[in-house]
Amino acid sequence: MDRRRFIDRLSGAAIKAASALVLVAVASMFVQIFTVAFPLWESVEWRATSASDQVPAAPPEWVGRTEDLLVFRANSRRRHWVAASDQTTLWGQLQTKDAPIEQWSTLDYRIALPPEFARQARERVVMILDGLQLLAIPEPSGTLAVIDVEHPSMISQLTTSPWDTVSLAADGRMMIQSYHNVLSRYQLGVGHNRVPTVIKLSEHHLAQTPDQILVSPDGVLALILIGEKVLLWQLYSDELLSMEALGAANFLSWTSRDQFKVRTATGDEQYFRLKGFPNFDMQQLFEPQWRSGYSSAVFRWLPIVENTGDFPMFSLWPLLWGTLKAALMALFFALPIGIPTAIFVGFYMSPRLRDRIKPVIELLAAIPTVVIGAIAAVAVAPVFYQEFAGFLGMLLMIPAGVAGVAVFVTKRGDAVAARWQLETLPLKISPLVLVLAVVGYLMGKELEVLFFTGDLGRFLVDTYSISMAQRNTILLGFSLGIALVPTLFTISEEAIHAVPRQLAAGCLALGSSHWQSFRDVVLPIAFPGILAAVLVSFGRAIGETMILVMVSGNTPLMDWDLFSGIRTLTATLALELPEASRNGMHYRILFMAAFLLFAFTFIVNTVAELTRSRVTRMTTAWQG
Amino acid sequence: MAGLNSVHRRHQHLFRHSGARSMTWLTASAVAISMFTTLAFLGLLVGLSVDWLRPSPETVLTLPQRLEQLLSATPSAGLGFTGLAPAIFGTVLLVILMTLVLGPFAVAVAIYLSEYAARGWYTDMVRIAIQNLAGVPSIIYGVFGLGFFIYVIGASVDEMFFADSLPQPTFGTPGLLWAALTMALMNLPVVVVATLEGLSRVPQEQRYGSLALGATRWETLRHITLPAVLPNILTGLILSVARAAGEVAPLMLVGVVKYAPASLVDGRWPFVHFEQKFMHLGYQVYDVAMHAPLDSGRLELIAVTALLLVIVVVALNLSAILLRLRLGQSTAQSESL
Repeated sequence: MDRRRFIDRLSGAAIKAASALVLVAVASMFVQIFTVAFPLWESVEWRATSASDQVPAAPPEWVGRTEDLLVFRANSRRRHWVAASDQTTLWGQLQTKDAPIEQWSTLDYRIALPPEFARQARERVVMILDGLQLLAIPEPSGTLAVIDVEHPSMISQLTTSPWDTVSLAADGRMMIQSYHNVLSRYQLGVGHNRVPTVIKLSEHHLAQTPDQILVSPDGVLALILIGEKVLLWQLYSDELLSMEALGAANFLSWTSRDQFKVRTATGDEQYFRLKGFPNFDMQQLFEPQWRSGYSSAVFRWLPIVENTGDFPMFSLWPLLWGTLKAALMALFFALPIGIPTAIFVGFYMSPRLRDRIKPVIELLAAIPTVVIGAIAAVAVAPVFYQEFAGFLGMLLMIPAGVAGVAVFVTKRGDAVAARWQLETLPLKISPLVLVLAVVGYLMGKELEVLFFTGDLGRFLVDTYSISMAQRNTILLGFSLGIALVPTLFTISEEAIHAVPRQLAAGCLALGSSHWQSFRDVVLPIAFPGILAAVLVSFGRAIGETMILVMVSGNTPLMDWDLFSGIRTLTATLALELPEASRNGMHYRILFMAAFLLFAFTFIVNTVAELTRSRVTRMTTAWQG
Repeated sequence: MAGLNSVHRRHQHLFRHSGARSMTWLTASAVAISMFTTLAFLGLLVGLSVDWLRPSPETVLTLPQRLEQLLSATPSAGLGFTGLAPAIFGTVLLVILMTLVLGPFAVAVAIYLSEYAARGWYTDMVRIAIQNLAGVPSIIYGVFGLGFFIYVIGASVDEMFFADSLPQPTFGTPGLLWAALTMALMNLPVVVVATLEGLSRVPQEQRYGSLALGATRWETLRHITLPAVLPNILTGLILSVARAAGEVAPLMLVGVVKYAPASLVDGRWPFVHFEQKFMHLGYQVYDVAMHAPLDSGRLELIAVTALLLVIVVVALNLSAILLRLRLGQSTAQSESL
């Protein structure tokens, strides 16, 4: 007896524990994903390290400096530049890789600097902005001279304010300067007609005049020495942080993007390392950023960079944009098929046949998306370019043909309509669809020859300079749409079918047509359910991964072009998370993206669930 | 609704309103178009697979030889693909492991919700939690599996039991066990919902009878309720197995690889190596499609692999549907939550 009771208690406890575990699992999903992302926002800390602890960093842009000789290096994807300069001359070697040849070519040059700049040899920076090789030399009077190395006679004189001390980031994007106790921050860029520009971003008033200011190699942070105190300036968020316990500093220098060296008045050297993510700022994720090689602030997702001179960019907009574009495109293809199918099966079809057909369509939902993606990526994408005209023809011909027959049937089809058997109508239409598809395809091909010189892709490039990527948004939308149809169908069909039969039957008895009874009676009741179906499909389109990995092309572009590729959040997670180093900034930003995705689908699904339960309550109330 | 059709036919003359017939026509066309698209897709898949199986003039291999190659080619054979046998084996091991974790856990949760707890804020919370799990994108499970199972639990296991082999991780790295746990969590709602549906159909009197005869709650469950819902549990598990076989995205983060040189099962203790990375049929489709060299046979190879996957998944789903039909229940997953 005791043993039986013991087992009963034990099993009860186990069952209760299991239910608690569900809550723990869901809560820990939320908490865990968030806690990985959270340290990004933690305030920056610093700790002393020894010189040997210093992680060897990518070399800064200037690689050497003697009394009067400066050596620079600037890299970008297509340009490598090494330059050296003394007071009078700039020597350099430029390696470029340009589009048609895709081979590196080398150019050596030697430029005599204008004598008026000879005075200012200490601070200068070479940079490649938007393909221009520039040498920037600030003058204390508040003039920033920018020399275009390819046209050394053209010197742009930009105006800033006068300064006592100045510091330029290695990539030339960021310049800070101080004048008495005023600290200001400038951004350099290249504007229209490839003219260099400088924009003042912000200004701070300090208690006293700084002795030294120093931008970090990546232009994200700056150290400011005031007396014996050191301030850390986070340039993106524009926050000034007072750093304690550094000792009596006398001279500062960066040793890498998150490490710096402090020399005291007695000549001791101490190394420090910044902890946390000083290079991270929310603005980086959601606002356009300036970077070498671009003429204006841009949204870019470039988490892994090829060249030592570049720094990663983490703008989430291209990914969010890609996700949204893919989902909307998929709904564009899925809605016109899924919902009318649901209407026919749920409203017109007899329950007997419906019960037989529904499982078949639900089976389609079980087809793994990786299969759809594989077929689209390997069988369709390579021929998409040649067959685009035919595809477009099919895409236009099938709806047009079906609608045309519908008009014919409405106007003069009494004799035809009398012989309709609703049950088998789709089967009878199938051959028509096949014929329409073939006719559309052939017509597309024919029109291509007639009007588009036989090659629509080439025509688009030549006439509108629209180039077609192999894995483009149209193909992506189509394949993702196919994957959405079963979901869309199942939920909306259930909502339509749940509407009590008597209502429609009563309508028909009063002389309305099928469509009228559907539109005026069934649809208003089922509408929230159909809306829920659309929402759930939208959520699925946002969360779907494999099709997007395989068909989207994974290019984080942000445009309205339907012929270009995209990159979505989910695909980025699947492709980049296995590679990202654990607890690095990239890893944490990916977790933050995952959290956004999680929260978004959570909201969409909850809204869908609420609308759906409203329908259930309404329909059961009717039936009751 | 059969009645509606006869009404329609008998009162044709009443339907004079424009749009009535055209809408019928249009919705029927949508059905035809979906059928057409599906058939075209499946036809493409089957056609390409047949192409692969058919002996071509340039290959001297016979059909059985080709099949053997398909199953057991190694990367060193230079064919640009790996045989499917280890992938099939890895998938089977994954779903077995997943079922072992998922089955008892999900059934216990369903029993708690239906048999043990009175409806209140706590059960509502559990229900909402399960409902939301069902809508979470699969990749999020992968992210969670990586961040929690592997880097939190796996790393602690390493510190406690495999400290001597650190910093080389044993369990703190993607592997079979973590993939199975991730899949189990992902499929939890499927099995819970299926079991709850069955439990709601067991007559209350049966439970009362058993309890009245002096059986404990556990004995009632064990001998009366659980046998009655076994087919439902099975249905749920079959559906989850199908999903685990076809879902690739989360696995990419928690342990699947394109080629696992070490065997998952061998003679060394503990015989099944849960910490190993493994191969998976669905991932194989992805890998061949995206990474195999572009030669003439690739498309057909993908089609064969994909068709195999589709057949497995559809067969599993079909058996679940048939099981439901035999139970005389609605074919659709109804909402018992």
